Amino acid sequence: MSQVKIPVDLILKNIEQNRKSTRSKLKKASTILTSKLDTEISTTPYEVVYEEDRVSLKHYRPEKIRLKTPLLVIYALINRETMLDLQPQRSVVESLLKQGVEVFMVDWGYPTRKDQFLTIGDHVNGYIANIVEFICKKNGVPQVNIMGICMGGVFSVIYTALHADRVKNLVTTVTPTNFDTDKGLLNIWMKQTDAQILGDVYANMPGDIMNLGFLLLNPARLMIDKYVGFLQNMDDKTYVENFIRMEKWIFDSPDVPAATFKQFIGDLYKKNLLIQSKLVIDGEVVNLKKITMPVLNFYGKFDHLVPPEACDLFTSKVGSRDTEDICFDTGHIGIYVSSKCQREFAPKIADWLLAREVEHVQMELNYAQK
Amino acid sequence: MAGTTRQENEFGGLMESWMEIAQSFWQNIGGSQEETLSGIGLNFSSDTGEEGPDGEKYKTYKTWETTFSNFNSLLAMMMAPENQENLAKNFLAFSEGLTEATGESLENIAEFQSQMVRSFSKVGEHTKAYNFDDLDRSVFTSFRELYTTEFQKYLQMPKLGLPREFQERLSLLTDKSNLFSSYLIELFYLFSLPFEKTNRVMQQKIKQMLEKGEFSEDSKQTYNEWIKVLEGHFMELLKSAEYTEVLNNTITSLADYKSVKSDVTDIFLKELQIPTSRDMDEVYKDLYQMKKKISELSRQVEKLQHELKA
Repeated sequence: MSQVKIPVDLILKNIEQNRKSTRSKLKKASTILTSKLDTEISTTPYEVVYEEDRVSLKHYRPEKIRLKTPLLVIYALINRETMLDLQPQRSVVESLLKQGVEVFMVDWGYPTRKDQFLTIGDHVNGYIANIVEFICKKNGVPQVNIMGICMGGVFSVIYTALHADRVKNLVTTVTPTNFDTDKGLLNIWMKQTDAQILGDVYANMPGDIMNLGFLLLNPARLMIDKYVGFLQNMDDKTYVENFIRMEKWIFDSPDVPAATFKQFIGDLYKKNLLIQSKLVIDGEVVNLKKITMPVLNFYGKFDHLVPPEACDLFTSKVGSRDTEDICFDTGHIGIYVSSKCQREFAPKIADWLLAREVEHVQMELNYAQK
Repeated sequence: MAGTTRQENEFGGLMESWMEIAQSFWQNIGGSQEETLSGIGLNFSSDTGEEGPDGEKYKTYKTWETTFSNFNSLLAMMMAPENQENLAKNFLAFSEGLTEATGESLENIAEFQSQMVRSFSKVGEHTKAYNFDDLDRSVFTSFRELYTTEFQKYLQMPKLGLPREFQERLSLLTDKSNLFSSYLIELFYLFSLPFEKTNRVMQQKIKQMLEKGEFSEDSKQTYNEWIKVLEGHFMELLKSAEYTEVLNNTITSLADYKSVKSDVTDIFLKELQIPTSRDMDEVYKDLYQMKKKISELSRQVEKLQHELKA
């Protein structure tokens, strides 16, 4: 057997080269990390126009309003809505404002122990319903457009089914409506474990524990590779600033009220009642057939949290005939933060809403003429 | 029997001599102390009796002296030849009883040790990459079995006295903490498996490359390969039934532990007159229900007002 030759000279040469480049990188990184960094998020100007308990409503006004009906954005209870306004040039809110869309966005705040008894019904028929009434009264409109994101999308769907008269158009993004799939790890874990008992133990489900759970969905990439990438690029100021912004957002995790958490896992993940139109909220059945207004449904092909199989059944279950599914080649938050998707996402929503606004006005005119 | 009796007599004689020496030693100490105390004006005498002016002050010493004398008498009685046989029988019975009681425990500990040895011997075997069907969790299962059969029962013994409720809660907390720790360690063990398997795969790959005479100068490429393999192993693990089972056990044991921990914490908080979290939860629940009721009533009032205006 011939002996394997280990190129020691090459190895040593590599080590020497790496040592020099690493030293220069570290020196530059040290200067960058100790300098003033621009890591502020949610910098687009807004006004808080409504507050109820821990919940507030942010109002973003565009320079020129193209749509009469404002857009209400309902984010999830997990993480914060600031993801939609991470930084200039990578902000969904900014893009929508440039398209002439007047935006109202729900800020769910930080639940405390006293919020542990709030159910999905309290969020939907309480906070969201009150907010919609407020916007309608403020703007003098009978309806609003709603855009829901992830768990906020679930709330949007439930609200729309229960209060269809108040919703003009519905946009759902990365919204899980069908939980009977084994394509996502979350679906497997939630169905096969009793995770909901943590809601009883902690009063509210701690945001940090949920974050840990999300990190464990792909520990190799999210806990190791991500930071290796940071170390390799920490001599690039722009990279460092973007990285820190994302870190700020991703680990800003409010707790989730225990009653909502348990209901979400029990009725949705385990029993999958929503897509079957069997979910009962405050004594009323959430019938998807009552969603008769136009529906635009976005989801990500490589979304490991909400796989496409959890989203693509929705439009076939609603009562509306004007529905559209759009699948981006990206992950769960890529739709909002990827520069490629940014160029398509907000303009598509604005154009889609505008087309339906014009249609609606035309229909009203036709009716008036008759 | 004669040999045993001779040994016991020798032992008895030894004890008796020791007691005599000890007694005289302490008496000498007492005597010198008495002289010292007399020298500084404190009158002390073991013969003073209760009528003496300083006799009351040295009751403790006199009690000790009495106790010592009683013990000496008892020992002398025990060492008497007529009592030697009974004494020997009692010692024998005691040791037999102890052996029987621990016999079962020793068997279980021996079984656990053999399991441990079997598990350690499996560590040296080659583990198949991308396969989590034969996870070696027997060590953790054995430990839990040993704990629940041999040690848990001592924690579950009924407690006595005024603080019995607190003691019961502490025992329960220790029990739940042990179980939670065992499941948590098992979970950490599972998380270490992908690293172990990835390193084996990478070692094989590097070996093959070297055998072919190839050598990658780009460490990034090697790292990328490593992270890709690691990601694959983690995906297999996280989807496996074994992982889900351990995760569920960890969650439920954590819930049990936290619940019992709250019980213990509440005791201390109550002592400090601080409302416990459970007390506050009741207040919050009342607030929540009141707010809902008020909200509903407000809606009804608005509706009625609207109807009246109409």
